[in-house]
Amino acid sequence: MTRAAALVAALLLVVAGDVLARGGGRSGGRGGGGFARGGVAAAGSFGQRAPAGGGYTGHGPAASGSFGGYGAGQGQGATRPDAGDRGGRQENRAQHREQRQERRDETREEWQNYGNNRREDWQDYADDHYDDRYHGGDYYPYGAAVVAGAAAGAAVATPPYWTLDCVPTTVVVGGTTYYRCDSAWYIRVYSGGDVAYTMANPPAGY
Amino acid sequence: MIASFGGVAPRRSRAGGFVRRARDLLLVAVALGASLVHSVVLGEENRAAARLEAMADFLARAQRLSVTIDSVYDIVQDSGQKVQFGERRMVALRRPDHARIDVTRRDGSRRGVLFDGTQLAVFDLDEKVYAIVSKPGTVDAAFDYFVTGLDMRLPLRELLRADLPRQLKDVVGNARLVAEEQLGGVATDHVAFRGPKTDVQLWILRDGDPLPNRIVITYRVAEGQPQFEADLSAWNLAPDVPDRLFTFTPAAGAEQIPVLIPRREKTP
Repeated sequence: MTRAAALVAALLLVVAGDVLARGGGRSGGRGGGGFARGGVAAAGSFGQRAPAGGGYTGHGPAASGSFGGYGAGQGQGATRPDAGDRGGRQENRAQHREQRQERRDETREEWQNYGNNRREDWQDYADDHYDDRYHGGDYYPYGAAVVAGAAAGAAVATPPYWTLDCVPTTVVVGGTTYYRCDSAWYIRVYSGGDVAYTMANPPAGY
Repeated sequence: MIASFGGVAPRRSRAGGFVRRARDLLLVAVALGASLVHSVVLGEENRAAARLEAMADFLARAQRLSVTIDSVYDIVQDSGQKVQFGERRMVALRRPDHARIDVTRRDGSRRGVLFDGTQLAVFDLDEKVYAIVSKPGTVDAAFDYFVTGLDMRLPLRELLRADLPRQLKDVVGNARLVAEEQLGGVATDHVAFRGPKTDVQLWILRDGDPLPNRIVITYRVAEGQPQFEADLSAWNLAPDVPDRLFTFTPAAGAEQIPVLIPRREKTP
């Protein structure tokens, strides 16, 4: 009899444990529901002094606010190809920075060398690429880009710059504001939901 | 089974029979108890799934709605430092083809997007710019294009989709009820589920319409596991949403600019 009672108690404990482990408990109180409430963030401590400095980026996966990664219409944040690959992502960032700098330098050189000769029909370029079937691609594609919407003809397929590294002179031509840094021209564009700058062909007459 | 040697079977004692009957009764009791507890487990699981499905069905069926979304989100800097940003979004939706979202960021900057069934208009009042992109069709298709085609932000756009139940179909099965919780004095069901790359928590109103009161999304495979958190308030399922609300008129002096889109590789 005693052994049977022990068996019953053990079985009930196992089942009850299963309930808690599956998060189905209705405790509704502290520590209930089978979810641990302890953790680093629960401390709410500042921990260490923050380093000084500004220039924080506002772009990242959590900015998308997407449920992410299942069903149709996946969100941009959760489908970032380098998400989860921390090493790879750092490498990509460094690579992107290099590419961006190289691209900027190259573009400037081209402008300096060839001046106004390097005009292209960017609307055609955009149309050609936009009709493509896409796959893959980086979230921060510091390579060529395409342009949609009006005033697309002025833009060059270069990556977005969130700031200009000079105090530009501005010229308004045909309703578009051009920003000039030395020999490079920029216009404003939407990129990633924010207003940024991109390289542009010099405006007519410049 | 009773073994017999020598052709004489042992007789059962009265005490032995009582023990056996008691043991059988206990085993039945255990089985019943386990079954009862298991039913509670399944009941809670079903309840979490039911709450999630009720919310999805309700939102998907709404022909018009408005809601205010106060959200914050972590941005993990290149240094690894996590920084939080926030904004308020005023959402107005008139299915199937009209929507408007006005955004005020914590820094005070104001921007937004309108869709009138034919075009998407994006504006930034502080930068004094706007962009217009043609996209005839439904809100769902336009917002898909907005996010995946134009690379723009539209947090919680899943909640606005007419096929929200289908969006959540794959995760409803793993939804769990964390607890019944009071959120700002309002009774809610705290439901959690996991997607392939995110952990999602919703607090769904217990009384009245099954509307989400709060949502937390953890991007658990992203570096630093940043979170997006949103409080949803001022739900209105019968808002006044005339055509003019969705008609875009550029602000005085605003400049039309293009949208720069990431160029993706061609499919081989």
